[in-house]
Amino acid sequence: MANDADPMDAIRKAIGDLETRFDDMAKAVFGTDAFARATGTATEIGVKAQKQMADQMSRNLEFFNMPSREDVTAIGERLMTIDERLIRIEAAIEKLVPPDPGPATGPKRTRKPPARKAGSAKPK
Amino acid sequence: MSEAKEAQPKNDAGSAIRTLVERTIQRNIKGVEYFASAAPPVGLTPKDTIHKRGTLNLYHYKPLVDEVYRVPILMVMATTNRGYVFDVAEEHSFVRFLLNAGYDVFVMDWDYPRPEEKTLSLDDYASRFFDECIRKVQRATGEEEVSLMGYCMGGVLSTIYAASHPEAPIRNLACFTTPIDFSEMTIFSHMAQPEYFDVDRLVDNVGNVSPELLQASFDMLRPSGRAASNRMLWDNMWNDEFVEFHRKMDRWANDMLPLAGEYFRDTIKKLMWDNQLLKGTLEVDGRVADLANIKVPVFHGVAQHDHIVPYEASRHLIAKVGSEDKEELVMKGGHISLIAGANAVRRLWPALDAWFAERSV
Repeated sequence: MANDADPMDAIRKAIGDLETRFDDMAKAVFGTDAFARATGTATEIGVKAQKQMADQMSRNLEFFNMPSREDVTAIGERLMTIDERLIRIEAAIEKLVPPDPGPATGPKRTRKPPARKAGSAKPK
Repeated sequence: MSEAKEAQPKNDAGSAIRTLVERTIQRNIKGVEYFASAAPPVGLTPKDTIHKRGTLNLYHYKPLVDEVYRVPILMVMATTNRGYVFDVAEEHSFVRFLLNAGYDVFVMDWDYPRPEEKTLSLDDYASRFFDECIRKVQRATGEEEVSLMGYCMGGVLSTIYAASHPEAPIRNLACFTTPIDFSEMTIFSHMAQPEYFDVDRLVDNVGNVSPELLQASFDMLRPSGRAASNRMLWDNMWNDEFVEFHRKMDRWANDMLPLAGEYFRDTIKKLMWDNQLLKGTLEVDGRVADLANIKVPVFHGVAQHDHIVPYEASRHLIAKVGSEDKEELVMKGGHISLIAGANAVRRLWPALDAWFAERSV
């Protein structure tokens, strides 16, 4: 989008250079062992906090005699098992039934590539 | 004569200042419109969902021409993002381009994995899902052979499937920005090392891995990325076409998906830590994924300025596959602009059409 005669071009270029330098500097920091260790620790703390909150919420829901996330997930898992079983049954039936010759209303599958230009590579 | 020469720079400077003022006014007017308007729609090319199983969706796009190539194309989206990047806008739709060029197009796309899907592993993603989808494509088209086309992690999954299922009815394999050597994934690889990152504790406690964690990891690869993107948006706010495309791509980039827990654990341990795909020791569903097993024609599109998957990580695909008919195309652009946007329309798409056309009859 840059215009050759645009007086803002110099500013754009300067900001672009600044961003590149910032990225290089930040990546140098992110690539250090200390940063990786600190990020790992922060992730672990976050996970622990999330787990504690989830456990507390689960206890609260149990107290109010309401289904917890685990209960809903358990139902979901059972549905997933049924889903998988249906897919296996469907696959077994498909093996017994001959494949569909294709939709009668669909396009013809006879398209040919355009003529190759002289000197262009031919597929092996 | 000399007067005319002197007058020219003055006119140029005057016109430049006029343009600058006009654009500044337009920026302010359109900037207000920007915040007041709804997000532009994406993924509008007509399609049918022919298979759905939890996180997995298989779309069949409605043909736009009367005669198509015999072999259908099954596109595989990266598991971290939505597949509408292939169909982001009518004039920038990879899917629409392929449909108009005469291909029968299917897309494997992903939804949020449900909490119970935390048990889905690399075996599911790189083997069982492919078996299911290929079977569905065969039934929908009546054709035995299918061409696979994978982007980023979708390319990794397609490659693993082709390498571990040499008997599968794959006619062609096309990948874009597909990492093979995960030790070259710079910051990702470094921060995921076992001494810093306890993947077991994370997955055991949270189940599916949140998109925020993944987004933060991507942001670290280009820390100024968001600021630069907003700066470019403001700079081009006068340009409706730029703003619309920017909004669509920005929506896509921020619309990240969580990853199924076991799949994430497998990716970290088998690919990041042990680099098993490069070493040829990766096993999925009890089969070894040896790249030398791939004998079908292979196309690999890589971007010169890819900050997510550097060339050092992706260059091994062509070197290691056992195919005689293989081609790597290094193109200008970055990880996303390789497949979407003006750059892709000019470079990758026509090259890919030329490659596929002769191999899809």
